[in-house]
Amino acid sequence: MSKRKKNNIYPLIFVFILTFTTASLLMGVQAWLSPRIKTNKKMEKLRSILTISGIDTDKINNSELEKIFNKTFSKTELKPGFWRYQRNSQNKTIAYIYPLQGKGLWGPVKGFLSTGPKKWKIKDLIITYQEETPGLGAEIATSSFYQKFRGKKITPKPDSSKIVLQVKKEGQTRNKNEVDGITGATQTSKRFNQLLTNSLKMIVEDRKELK
Amino acid sequence: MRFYTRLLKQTIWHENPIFHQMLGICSALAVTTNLKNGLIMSLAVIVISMATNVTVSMLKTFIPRNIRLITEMIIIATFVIIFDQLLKAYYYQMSKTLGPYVGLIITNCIILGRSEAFALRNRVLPSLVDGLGNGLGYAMLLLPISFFRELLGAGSIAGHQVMPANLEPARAILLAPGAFLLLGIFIWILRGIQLHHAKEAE
Repeated sequence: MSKRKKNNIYPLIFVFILTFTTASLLMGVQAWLSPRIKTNKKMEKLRSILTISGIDTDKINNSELEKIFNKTFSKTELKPGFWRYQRNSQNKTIAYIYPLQGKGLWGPVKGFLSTGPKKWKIKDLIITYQEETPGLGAEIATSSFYQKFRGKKITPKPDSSKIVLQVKKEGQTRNKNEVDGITGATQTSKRFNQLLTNSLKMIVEDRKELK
Repeated sequence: MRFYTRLLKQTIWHENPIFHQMLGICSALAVTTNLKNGLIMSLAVIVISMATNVTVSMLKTFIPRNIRLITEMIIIATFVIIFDQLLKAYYYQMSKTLGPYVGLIITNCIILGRSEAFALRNRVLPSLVDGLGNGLGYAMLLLPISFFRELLGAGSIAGHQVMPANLEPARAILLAPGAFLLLGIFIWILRGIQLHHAKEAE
């Protein structure tokens, strides 16, 4: 071993140079990629909103996506961080989109829910973020799960405040307003039901005011 | 050239990180729920283990012995963060499904183990080959395990449904016990083949 390495000050200098180099490298990479990552996140959000308002976004590229959004959608902040989006067509609103947000089993679950002109029925639903168990709870973010909510009644009658839509254990659903949960992911299903009920309460109140 | 092919064969087969050295098993169990995850994760480990081995090998004369582990960790973490950012920028959907597991490559024992056991003592080119071999050795188990876990646990291959819809998939295979079971079976088969070869050679 050389003299240099036995010196006490040498490791300090080495670590300083190493961290300085790696930190600069990472800062450079971040500066290069972060605009792209931000765009990805924003586009994913727009794509989700467009999809559940009834627009097929598969063949639309990002720049067109933003154009369509700006042209046909309006948004209102209901409370800090909670936005309602409306899809307008010929001066009429044809879809109302609300954010879904709450706790799952391991972390937050986020998504969007849309109602059509018929305000007591769900038009569509999408889950965009979850941290549930891969292969089990994480299935809530697959279309085969959230497509089950299409056309379900939120309240029994247009002006009622009673929420009838429920996520139940698979095989225990008894009526049309109940949706099968995920087998093997009872906790996620339960929490998702809670999250959905909370959001639906808010949505029902908001739609009452909207008329 | 023969030296390198021998080295590659040795790292992939005779000293395979997973079924021989039992390294990197935690991530092998966690990300193998479907084939796509397994594929991207294998690619990540191959790239990062090569990059780390090369860097450590280049710096080996400068790294102070008493702080070599922390140095290796810093190098690994840097490459992992870069890979994660690249994935988020260019393959956003994939980065979402892999979630925290890409970041957890930092704690993958294969990469730290190889930089400690090989790259610190060898020249750059052999270190590169060693990194490649170990990454491939990892992929060699990750891919079949994720293939079978997805097929049996979800009834699909790379997201395409292949099993008939009325056949209930064995969800337990997607949980940790299922992963242990499959990994155990694979280790048993591969070690069996190795033993058979060794006996024949005698």
